[in-house]
Amino acid sequence: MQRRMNEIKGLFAELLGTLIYAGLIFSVTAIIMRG
Amino acid sequence: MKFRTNAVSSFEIISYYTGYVVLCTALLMTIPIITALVFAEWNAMLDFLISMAIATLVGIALAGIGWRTKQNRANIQWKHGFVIAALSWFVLMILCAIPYCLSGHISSMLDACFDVMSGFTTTGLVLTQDLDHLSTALNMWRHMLTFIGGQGMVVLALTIMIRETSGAYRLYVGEAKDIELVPNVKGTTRIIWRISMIYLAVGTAALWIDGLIIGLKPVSAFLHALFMFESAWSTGGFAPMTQNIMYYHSLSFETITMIIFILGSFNFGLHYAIWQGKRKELVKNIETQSFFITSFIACMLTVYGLSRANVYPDTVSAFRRIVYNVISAHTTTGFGTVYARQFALEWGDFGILIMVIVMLIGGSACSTAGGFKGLRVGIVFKGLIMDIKKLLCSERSRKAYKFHHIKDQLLDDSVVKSSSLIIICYMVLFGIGTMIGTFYGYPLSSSAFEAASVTGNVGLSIGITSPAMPAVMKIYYIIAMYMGRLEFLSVFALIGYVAGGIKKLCVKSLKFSS
Repeated sequence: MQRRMNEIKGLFAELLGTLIYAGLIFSVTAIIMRG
Repeated sequence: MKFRTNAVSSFEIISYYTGYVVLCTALLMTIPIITALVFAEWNAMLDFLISMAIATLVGIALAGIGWRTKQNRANIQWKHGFVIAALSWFVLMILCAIPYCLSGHISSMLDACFDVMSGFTTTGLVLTQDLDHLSTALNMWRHMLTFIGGQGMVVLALTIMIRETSGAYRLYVGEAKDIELVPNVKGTTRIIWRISMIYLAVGTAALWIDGLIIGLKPVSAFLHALFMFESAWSTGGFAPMTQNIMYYHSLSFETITMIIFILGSFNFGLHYAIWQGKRKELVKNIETQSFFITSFIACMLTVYGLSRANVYPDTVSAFRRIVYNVISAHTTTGFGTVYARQFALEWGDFGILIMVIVMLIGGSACSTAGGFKGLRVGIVFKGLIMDIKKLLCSERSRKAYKFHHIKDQLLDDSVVKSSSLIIICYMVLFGIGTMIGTFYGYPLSSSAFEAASVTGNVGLSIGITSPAMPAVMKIYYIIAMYMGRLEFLSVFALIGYVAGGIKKLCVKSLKFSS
């Protein structure tokens, strides 16, 4: 059970990390395009 | 033990295990056969039945030649592991091309081999014609090849293997994977598949829902979701439609695929570590650091360069057309949101140069991605800093330098040297590819773009790859994709083994004649 929970948390951590990175790139792209 | 290895010749060992991998692949053809049955595609079903029969016969023949390997339980040595991996990929390229040839969507066997190698190596360049009218079974086969190729054909065979084989680790390393997640290879390969299958379920579901939202019919949405996931996760670049990712006209679809291919380009060791609770690994690992830094710089430079030329009018179109393509190139995926010639006509030399650099860098080691890998870039960069620091500090105060990749590892000269050697091999392969392109009259920037795409197993095209391109270029691109994916050593071992065999034959015939 603990292993399953760790896997689910790990999967969400990876998805969230990648989403944050994509969001960061989008924000900087917006700054450059407006500049 | 030594007696056993000597009793069974290397040829028999190589033949037996190559036959085993071929038989596993023949078994896989049942999936497109079932697909053809479900969708009542009788011609396609016949194509796959014929192909399966041929592959089974070849597999049985190869395994039969080396049958004494099983009887004597002969050990696999390092040289066998490398040669088996390289030879299996070559034999499978020909066998898996048969359904393509029989489908009538391909103009020659060479083109079919090109497409299969492109799939296996997760490159994504296509010579198949009229993709939009391909049978569902053949589409299933194309995307399966790229999905399985991403994890590795030998990895698949080792996973299916009933019991652990002595020396299996040597087979596993032969396919350019060297990470041990658990002490035994079978366990490691099963973890690799487990991670991929969990993501397959999550990713396909996300793309299916999005497909329904953007207006696809339920069955069609499911198939598109499955195919696009397989391509994205394996950083492949194949798509069921000619227009590639542009067919969907959807920011959400593009964003989901982008997240999938970024995750697909990560090391399986990293996935496993994070799933084991070591979540800090995502920011501490030298590979993720290297990827985030280089991809961020590349995206921003390209956005800045193209914004000055007013190529794209707003943030959303810049994100969809520039960032998506740069990340797709960096992860060696090859999904393109612009038409091939737009790179040449709109992006200019600066944009093309950045794309060439990121395509060559590629994703992570022991992942589905190609290129010379972020790990090696990080090691060489840290090695350079280490050398500068050594120069500047006194001999007494010298310390050991480390890098973090799953665990802290010692950064010594041998690690930097081996990383540099692989990078040099990639650069030579890229250089020759560019030279051949220019020899046939293509512009330098276009030749470099396409050469980087095949060397790094990316799949983006600037318009050179087509059924009409010279046969020499097709053959070289096949070799470049093959060598780039197997990271040279296995292919060099195969060449050495064949050359050694020819030399022995020559010596024997000379002795016989004298």
